[in-house]
Amino acid sequence: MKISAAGVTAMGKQGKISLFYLFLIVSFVLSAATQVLANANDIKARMQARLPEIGALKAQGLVGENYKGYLEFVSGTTAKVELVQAENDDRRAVYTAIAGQQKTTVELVGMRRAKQIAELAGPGTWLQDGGGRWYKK
Amino acid sequence: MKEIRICWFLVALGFLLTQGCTRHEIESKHEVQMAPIEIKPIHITIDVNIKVDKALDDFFGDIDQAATQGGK
Repeated sequence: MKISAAGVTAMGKQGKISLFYLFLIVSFVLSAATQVLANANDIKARMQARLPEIGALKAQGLVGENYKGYLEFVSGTTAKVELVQAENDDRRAVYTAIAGQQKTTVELVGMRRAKQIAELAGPGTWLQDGGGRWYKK
Repeated sequence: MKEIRICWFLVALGFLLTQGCTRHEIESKHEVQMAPIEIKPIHITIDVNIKVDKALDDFFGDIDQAATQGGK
């Protein structure tokens, strides 16, 4: 079998092209993974920054932790709605990511988180049981 | 005359004996009904909850620790 010089050049070109595509794919995957990590770190940082204010709202009995893993206003007062909304949005993003990883639903992840929160909650925190009833820990 | 009687007697006896040797076959069928065997698919339940809890711990571990220290 004879391979002409032109054939060798063509094969070399093909090899270079496929290497180039492989490089592109690897770069894309790596950048996506880095993006996810960066997002996770951003969310974590935001949540940690909100902790004191959310802690104060809980201590005042204005917000509680519902059984779905989100913050909810317990009394009629809706102070710092944006803060509560932002916290819930970030929580939802985390639950969605975990649900995707574990191939389950966002609701289940939220409910599992609600259990963890209830266990860790300090005395006096408003919590919601599975039936939707609010109680003070 | 006596011989004739004996002869008739033997004929009658032979007839009765042959009639007595009948075959009686009782056919009985015993059908045992088997319930259909149901092959249930084996459900391997992987406890998703444990995996989810682990993932939640991994993410919220630091935050929970900070919250507990700061008074959640």
